[in-house]
Amino acid sequence: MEQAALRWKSIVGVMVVTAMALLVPLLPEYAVTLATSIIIYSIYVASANLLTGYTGLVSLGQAMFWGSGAYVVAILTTRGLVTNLYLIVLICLVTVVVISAFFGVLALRVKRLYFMIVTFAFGHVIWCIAMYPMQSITRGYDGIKDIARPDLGLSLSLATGTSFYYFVLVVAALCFFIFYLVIRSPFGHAIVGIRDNEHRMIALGYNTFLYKYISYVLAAVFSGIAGLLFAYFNSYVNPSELHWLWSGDALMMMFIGGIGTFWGPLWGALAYTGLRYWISSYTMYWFGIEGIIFILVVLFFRGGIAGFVMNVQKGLKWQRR
Amino acid sequence: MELPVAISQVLNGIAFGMLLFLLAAGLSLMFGLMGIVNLAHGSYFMVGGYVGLTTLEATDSFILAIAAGAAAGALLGFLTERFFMRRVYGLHGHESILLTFALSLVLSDFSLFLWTGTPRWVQAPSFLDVSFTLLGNPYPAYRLAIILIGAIVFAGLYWFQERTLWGATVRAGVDDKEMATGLGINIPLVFTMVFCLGAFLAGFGGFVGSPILGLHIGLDIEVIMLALAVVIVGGIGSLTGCLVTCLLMGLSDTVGKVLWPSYASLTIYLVVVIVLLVKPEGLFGKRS
Repeated sequence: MEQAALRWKSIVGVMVVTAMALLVPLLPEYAVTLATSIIIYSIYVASANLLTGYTGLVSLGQAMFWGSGAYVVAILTTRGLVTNLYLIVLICLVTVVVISAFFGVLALRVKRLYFMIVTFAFGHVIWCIAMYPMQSITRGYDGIKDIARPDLGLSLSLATGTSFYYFVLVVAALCFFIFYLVIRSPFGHAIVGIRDNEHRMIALGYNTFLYKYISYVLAAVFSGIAGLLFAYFNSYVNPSELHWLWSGDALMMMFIGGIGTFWGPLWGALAYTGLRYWISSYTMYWFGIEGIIFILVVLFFRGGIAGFVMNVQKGLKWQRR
Repeated sequence: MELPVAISQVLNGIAFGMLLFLLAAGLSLMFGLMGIVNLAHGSYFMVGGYVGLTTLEATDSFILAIAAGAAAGALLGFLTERFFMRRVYGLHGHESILLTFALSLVLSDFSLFLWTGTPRWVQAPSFLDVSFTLLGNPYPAYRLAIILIGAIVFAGLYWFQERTLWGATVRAGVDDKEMATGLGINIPLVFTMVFCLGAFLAGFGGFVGSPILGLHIGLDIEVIMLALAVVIVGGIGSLTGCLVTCLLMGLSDTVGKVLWPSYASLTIYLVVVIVLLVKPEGLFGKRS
């Protein structure tokens, strides 16, 4: 009974989200652009959510994978090294996997808050590398501009905002479907077990390091995909994509949306992007206002939007009794 | 490299390490006692520096400026602990990170609003703004003064922690909070005091360090990164361990700047990687 109700609820949820997403292109141009960025951010936040919300590893270095993905696209396309989209995606994924496989081994040697500090430091290292030693390739502070939209190789053009929106939507739907499969799989249950009680999982014979490592690399891959989409979307990439502020924003969007919930990343990205768009039109001190909003959310709104919705549902049920 | 040049580089490294110590001592004490990572700690450093600068311009007294910077740090620390952190102790841990992250965003934009984005430099006080000859090489007296100040602060903190009742109380809190509470120690008060002390030292360091590091928006992030690197490399252990780690990091930073200028900001993180590979609990950390 409970299961069936839950299934119906998630089916209705998916249908509502899909309908909303499909209707976006009826809105004005700027809204389509905003919606595209929200969907790209939600993939990024969902990847952070896999690591933090489901595996319990708080990472402050997720931007290095987002940024790496974006930079690979920027460098390859603007230099005309590789023109085939599928090859670019492949190179992008390999790069992100190599970076995360390397840093994952190091970062997972420590636990809890130390893990956060270490990922924070590694994110800073990658940012520094992009800024200074690799300046001739990444163009330092100036960033790389004029990244052309991808060519799918089919007879579809992604030049317009709407067609690119649909492209992003399809990729995002695919990513969220994979997240769904991962979370529902035995692997997904194991990482939640590790989040809740790692000692017990060790006692049950799980190689928890391996699970956390796979989760780390998987999260990195999806952040990389989001970064790749962003580079094409924005047609401009600069070091702020690698900056720890963006890693912190991932945590914040996740927190606003509802940590460890499936749709939380989407709601968080929606709220964050909407607020930023609205507030930035009034003041240059967006970061300060963002900080104040975050403080209020952490102090008074801890379950995020998903938690709020759940509480409302619980309240309704209570009344019905 | 000639010997006198090498010696002045080593002194530079030690001076930088002492500045790091002013920041990292409070950070690691908070980590050890309250189990939180305070990402706003670099903001106390930066705001302390700016408040000191404004005081210096208004009163022309370097001593008053140091006091004002340190007081501003302590006040910020007090407000952070009392009104924000107190509400998230004992939760998962990511709440405190997000909260201090958000605070650092607010303080950064607040500083941008009050002091604008133009980088500022502070002149060392006239009696220290001299250089004297060290083995035939001129060396600025101010850096030596910083080394001296760092040593005095270390000695003071060591005495406080090991020889006073207050220090014993803090140590008791680090070891076992429940037991300390059971013995009648007011742990919330200890938390507030430690927060104030750590932030006081950060604000103090922010102004004392400004003739060397300068003051600019973004300084908060630069220094918090280094202080966190100290926490990883040193581990949470003794005050002495923290000092040794800071000096090690200061020296490795200087060595990096001399040997590989374009990779200068990365040598410290090379140390971080090596320590993680060899001794993940930190050089002076206890294995948990």
